Amino acid sequence: MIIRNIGLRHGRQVIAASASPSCCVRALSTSAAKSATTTPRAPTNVPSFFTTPEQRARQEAIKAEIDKVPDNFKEFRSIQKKTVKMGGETHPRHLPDEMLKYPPHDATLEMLMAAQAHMGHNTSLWNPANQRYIYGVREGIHIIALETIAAHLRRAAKVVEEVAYHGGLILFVGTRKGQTPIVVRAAELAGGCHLFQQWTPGTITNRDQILAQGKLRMVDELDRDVPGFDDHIQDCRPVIPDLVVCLNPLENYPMLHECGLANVPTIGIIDTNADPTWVTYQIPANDDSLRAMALIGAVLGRAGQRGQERRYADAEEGIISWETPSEVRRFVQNTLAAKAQEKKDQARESLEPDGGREMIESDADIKKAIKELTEEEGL
Amino acid sequence: MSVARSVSPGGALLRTSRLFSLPAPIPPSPTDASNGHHGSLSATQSFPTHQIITTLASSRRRGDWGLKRPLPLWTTTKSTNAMLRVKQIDTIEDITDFSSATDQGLTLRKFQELHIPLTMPAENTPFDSPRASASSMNLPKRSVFEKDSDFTTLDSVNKTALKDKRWRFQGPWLAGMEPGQFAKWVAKRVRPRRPEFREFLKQKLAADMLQSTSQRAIDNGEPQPELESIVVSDEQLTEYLRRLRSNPKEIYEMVGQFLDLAPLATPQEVENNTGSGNPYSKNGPPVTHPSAGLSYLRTSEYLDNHPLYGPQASHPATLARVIRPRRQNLQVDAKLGLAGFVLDAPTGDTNSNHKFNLRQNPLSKLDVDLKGGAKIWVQPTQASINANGRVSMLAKDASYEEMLIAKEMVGEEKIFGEKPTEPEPEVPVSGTRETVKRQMARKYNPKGSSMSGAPQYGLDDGAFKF
Repeated sequence: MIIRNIGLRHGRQVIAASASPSCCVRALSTSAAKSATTTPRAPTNVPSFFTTPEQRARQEAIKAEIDKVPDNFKEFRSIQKKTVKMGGETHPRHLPDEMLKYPPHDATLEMLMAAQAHMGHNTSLWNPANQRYIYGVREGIHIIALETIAAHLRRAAKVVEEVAYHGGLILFVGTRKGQTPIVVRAAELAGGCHLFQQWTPGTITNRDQILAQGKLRMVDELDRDVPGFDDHIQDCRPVIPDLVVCLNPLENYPMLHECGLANVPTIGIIDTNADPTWVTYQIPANDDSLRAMALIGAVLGRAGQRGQERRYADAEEGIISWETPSEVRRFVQNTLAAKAQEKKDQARESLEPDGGREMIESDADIKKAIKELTEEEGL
Repeated sequence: MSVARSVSPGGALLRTSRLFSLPAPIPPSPTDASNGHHGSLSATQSFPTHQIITTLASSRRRGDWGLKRPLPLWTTTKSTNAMLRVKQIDTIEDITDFSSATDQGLTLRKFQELHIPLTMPAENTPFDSPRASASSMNLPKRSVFEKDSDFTTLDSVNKTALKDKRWRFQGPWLAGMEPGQFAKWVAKRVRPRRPEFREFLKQKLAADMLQSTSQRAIDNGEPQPELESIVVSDEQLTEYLRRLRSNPKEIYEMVGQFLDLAPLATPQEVENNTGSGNPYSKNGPPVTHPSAGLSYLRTSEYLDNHPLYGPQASHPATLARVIRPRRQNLQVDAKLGLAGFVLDAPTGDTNSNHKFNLRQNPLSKLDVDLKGGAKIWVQPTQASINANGRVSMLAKDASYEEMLIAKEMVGEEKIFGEKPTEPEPEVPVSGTRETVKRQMARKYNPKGSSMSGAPQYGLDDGAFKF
């Protein structure tokens, strides 16, 4: 690249003419035998008064050339730095946080294998109920069939998507070390909740006590707050999730048991030592690997995201994918009836009778009624 | 041709995975403590038995080694080099059984930096005393990868033909067995195979008879007989057995062929220290491939090029640690540590053995105050694997020039462009003590005064300086 350095970089001749001690300049192999026997001579140090002016000039020129080496090298590095990106850019092939940053919509067999999802436990630790998921034994551990993992993961993703579409509340649970970012990201994608610390026993079965301080909101089909339900919210019981996704069922048996009692469907990662009957929808996979958990959490989170997007899109078009709970419906009816009665009483007082209202049956009627209610309150 | 078994896509994928392509561990050296031998359990094994695995820096920070679970950061992120050996992916205690493998991994790297090939062991000398072959030290040894000694796959025909060349045998090496071991082996492995051996002898006899009958047929001008036409009667076989019993050499040949025994040197050969036959007949066949996978070089006969001084006659010198100094009165020889292996100090008329050096030579005196211990510059010449899988190396002292050049490369010396302190008095005679002395005098007495006192050893860096 730098032509003026070519002599230095290629110049054994240049070096040979320099002040280097000839004892260090070795002969080629053809004369190796000779050089091995010759004296390790000390540097040929010809006194300065013996050198001719030409020789001195030449030596000085060489010295000047050598002195320029650091500067030339600096220049070379600066040019290299400027031109390193010419022609193409290199990208890191391996991103450890890929699953959290760019969550995939589906897991291929390759992705599952790369994420170590197929590695089960030591063969002596297995639960025979998992036999149907196991492909074989290798290196002393059970190997879970990749196809089975992929199929079960797809089924679970469908469940998450539909629950999200129908406005259900999804809870992602991962209480092992390192699972925090995974459950938080999955809950963020699916618009659900996450739990990365210990499940307080009784959060479902004794929720009136444990979740008494929790706040409730009444929302419409586009998740906007609906006012006028303060009285009702005060009387409401704390909510329970409509779907629980558990990354480590072994440590969360109390939670899964409570979900069973409350008829809450559960999705769980079942390693070869776990009991598949603890959860409603099993995903057989390695629950110890954070990469496998990140992949499965990401796929389920994406599924929830798809469900939410579909729900919003339908809501924009006026299609409501969920039904108003019966308690809310009753509250609206009662409130409207009370209002009507009040009006009636007022009308009777002013001798202007007004017609009573019909009973509300459909969701559309409820919407209308809620609209009336909000208008009356001047909102 | 066998029909390829169809596997599921996932199965095919798993077969090509890295986990599945990890080689199975090999048995440890018979002399290792892990194999029940007396010794320290924490000592480095003679050779690695497990595949060493590594991971990317970003993954190592997360504990991700591609195994079942992330490994604890406390134990896996301390080392500069990411090297682990995994004994079990999952144990019944629900943990991954692993240990650091930097000991053997770095030894391998250091050995490969020496650029010396592994050679066939010296045939006539016991493995454990490379000193014995010092006389033939300068002769180049043959690489273990030469065609005539490197046999890894054998068929039944080759097995017999290459008996004196190959290194792997199915049967044991009888000379290395304890009497109890031998009795056990005979009872368990040999006795049940009696009928098989009779059949084997029958075939041998049939082949012999075929030879004689075919010779007779040629003489009489008759057609050649077939092997199937030869019928060996029981009487003939018994007679053959009787004949064999009176000929120990022949029966040993037969038994050796049948059990695929490793060849033994005859007592005469052992006594006379003469070599013939298999190179492993005196010390037993090696437990690993004769290269042990340490190096795949076939030769070190190449030229090193120095950026300033051009092609070099010898390879760069290497620093060796003095592990144990020489103790003349106890007849204990010095030991060096080079690239993680222990070897004997150089012998012969070399720098470290010169009389004038002996007084403060690191090889003859233990300096406990020296930081990092004493070191000397050596030139490794050859390495081979002994019967126990250990590396035996030979090294000679580096010459004055080689040492200077090696030191200059690491910045400890400056020769290039340096002005000599005094003019050259005369052309010195090669290799004599006077030459080295004068050079040292010039180097360490800049004023040119006459040399006083001994040369300096053991400077701050622990290097052995002349």
